[in-house]
Amino acid sequence: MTGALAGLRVIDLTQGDGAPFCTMQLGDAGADVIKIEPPGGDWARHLGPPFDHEDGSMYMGMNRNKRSVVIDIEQPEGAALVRDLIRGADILVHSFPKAADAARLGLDYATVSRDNPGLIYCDISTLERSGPEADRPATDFTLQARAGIQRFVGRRGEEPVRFGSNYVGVTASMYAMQAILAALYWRKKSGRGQQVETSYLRAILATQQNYITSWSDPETIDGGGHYNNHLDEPAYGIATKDRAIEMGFAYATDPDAPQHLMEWLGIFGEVLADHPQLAGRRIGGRGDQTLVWPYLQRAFKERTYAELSEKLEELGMLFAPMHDYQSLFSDPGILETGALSTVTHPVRGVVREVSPPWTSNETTASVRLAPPLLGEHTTEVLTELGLDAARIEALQTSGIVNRGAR
Amino acid sequence: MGGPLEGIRVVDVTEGAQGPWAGALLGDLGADVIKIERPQGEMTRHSGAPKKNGIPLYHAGMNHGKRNIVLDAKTEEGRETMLALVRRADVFLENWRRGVASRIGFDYETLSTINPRLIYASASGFGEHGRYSHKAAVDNVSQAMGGYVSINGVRGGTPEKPRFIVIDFTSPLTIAQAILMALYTREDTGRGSHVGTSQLSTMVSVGQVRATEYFMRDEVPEPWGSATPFIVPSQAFRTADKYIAVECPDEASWRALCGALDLPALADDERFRTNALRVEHRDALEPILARAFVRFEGDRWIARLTDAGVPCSTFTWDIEDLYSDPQVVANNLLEIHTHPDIGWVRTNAVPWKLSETPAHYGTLSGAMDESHDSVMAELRAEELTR
Repeated sequence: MTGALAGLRVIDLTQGDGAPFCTMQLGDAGADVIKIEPPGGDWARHLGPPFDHEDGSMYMGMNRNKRSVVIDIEQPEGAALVRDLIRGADILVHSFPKAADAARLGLDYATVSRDNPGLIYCDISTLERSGPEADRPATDFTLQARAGIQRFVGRRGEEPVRFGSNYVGVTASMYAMQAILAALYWRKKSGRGQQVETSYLRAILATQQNYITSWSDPETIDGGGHYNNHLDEPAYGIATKDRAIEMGFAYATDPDAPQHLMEWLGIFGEVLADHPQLAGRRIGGRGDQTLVWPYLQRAFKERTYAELSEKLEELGMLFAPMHDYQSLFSDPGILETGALSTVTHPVRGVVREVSPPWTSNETTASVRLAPPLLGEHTTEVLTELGLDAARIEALQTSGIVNRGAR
Repeated sequence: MGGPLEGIRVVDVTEGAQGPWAGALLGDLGADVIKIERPQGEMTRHSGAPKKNGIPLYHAGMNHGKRNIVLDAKTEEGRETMLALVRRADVFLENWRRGVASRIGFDYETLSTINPRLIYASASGFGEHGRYSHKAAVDNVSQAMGGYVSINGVRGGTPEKPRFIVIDFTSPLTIAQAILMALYTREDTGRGSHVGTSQLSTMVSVGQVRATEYFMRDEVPEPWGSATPFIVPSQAFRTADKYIAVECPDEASWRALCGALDLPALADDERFRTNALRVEHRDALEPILARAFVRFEGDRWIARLTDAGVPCSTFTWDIEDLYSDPQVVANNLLEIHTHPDIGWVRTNAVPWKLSETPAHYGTLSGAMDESHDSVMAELRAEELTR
């Protein structure tokens, strides 16, 4: 078996804190991804520590399954070289900071599709390409703030708390990959490529659709329910003697699980004495859960995760260990799912990687290449393009390409 | 012009968010999506989330762009109709607890025999194999299991779970990707396939940058408040009246920030020249920046930093404020849709723009079984049912 996108070539002009995730996913699915970098490298390479051979964790987390080629596209000869590469490609993805950049460099859709009408051209922006602030610099973090997802972490009025990963950039990239895949499917039918776009802002709005639809008409909303969770206190799960547990009363296979749990913990009598309204009826639902929580918190502190998880499992309750990344990747139950991959790089050595998220009985998704060093594949890719050693040497001397340090 | 998936038929038996949002996305891309709902109504009909005119809005949005038919897999008639729909489908999308599909006879082996071109998509909690595979999953549980909770919270404090459905809006994205890849592959092989993703595998992918940080230094990544361990500055600063978000991901924006703050000497300070050095000396740098920012009000800083080319933003604390965001308005990123039983509802715009095959946000989902007649009429016309 091969990857679903095996045989497809991607020219990757993305950089930074989100868009490279899209081209990584294309690589995970089997495409040959050629990452074109400026002489100073993708700016995400500098985002660390930790660093691996000068490459920071932001870069290392989003650039496996790619080949790195350094070409200075700000020089006309460099941009022309990229256009040569695009002529033989199926997909181009870029995340240029400004709306006019692509046309300025001669890398806009109209120009590059002229010689390659089957090309799928994907543009990932932060704030869309039109509108008064389209060219305003923005990042994953400033989009988190702008799109309002800090409403859901921390405590209102105190220092904001950020989502601890590049959630906006990753979400936009996942949507971008969908657009590319849909366009690839349509190309099979029509023989034609097209231009597809998304933005961090567009994606993070789609990612809040339930809040947008639910709050759209506060005047006429009936029912209500628990939809003010952005105003709640921070949620931490329940601490035990060792690892904390995240759980809830909903969806337990044993409908009387909350009561049975409290009986097992020896706190049911105390709870009923304090809250007689709970007597003689099934306990569940958000209101009951809030009432009972402090008792569970006290009782859980006296027990280990192992003891508690065995009981919760028996009661069919929905729960999980509050994993950090160390406990996650030492949990045999997690490792059994194939969540961890390793790949060997000639300089970096053995590199651990998060496995691609998909399974299929017809195609594979795998980590074949570790994140490349800057310019690691310049010679290889330019040779494939038909340039001879003397030509590459000349381009290197004039600073148009860089073969990298190693 | 129709969407890229025009002509593709999807049978969606999912509940909650992971499956439903994926089905909705396929619908926005032009597929004909039929959602089969059980007679009791799916979980999000009963979640207590806001309703308008009696219709749960969470469900209405999560299941937009689908026709809805109620069928009971436990009755002969219901099964027959479901199988008839499977026979003519390209995609079958399920997120049952593991084991349910084979128990009720709607597993991949059975359905692929009936329809060898079928793409059978399984959106699970914790995958198909291993000791956790039987466990049911909901958003908060998957966030915890997938390590995501561990990286949010105040700096050095206890990890805090975002009160947001972090995985419910990302796990649909990966299963939709898997389906799109399978459709593409089927054009070559002529065969269907069994594809899947899990909330766990998606959650770990979403946190991949922080997982990578762990792989690289074998230390547990922790919450950093508004900041991050690997970019400085990249955090909220308190101004005279409110917090603002500021980030300098490169040297140009760092020098621009120093200029905008009237601290030119800082730009030449060797300790702060590169991001790696600023991270190393963050304890020295952060108080200097904090003192500078409290001098003026937030909006004044935003104007100044924006002119200088520094990524920055105010924090949006009320969702209503998004409705007037100039970029949202200029790009029509929010839409108003109406449904005869619901009335008007504000929604997001579709998350992609496709030049040749535009996507469109589909019709909101109303009452249960609202498309019964149209679906049954089609089956009769195609002589797939009595």
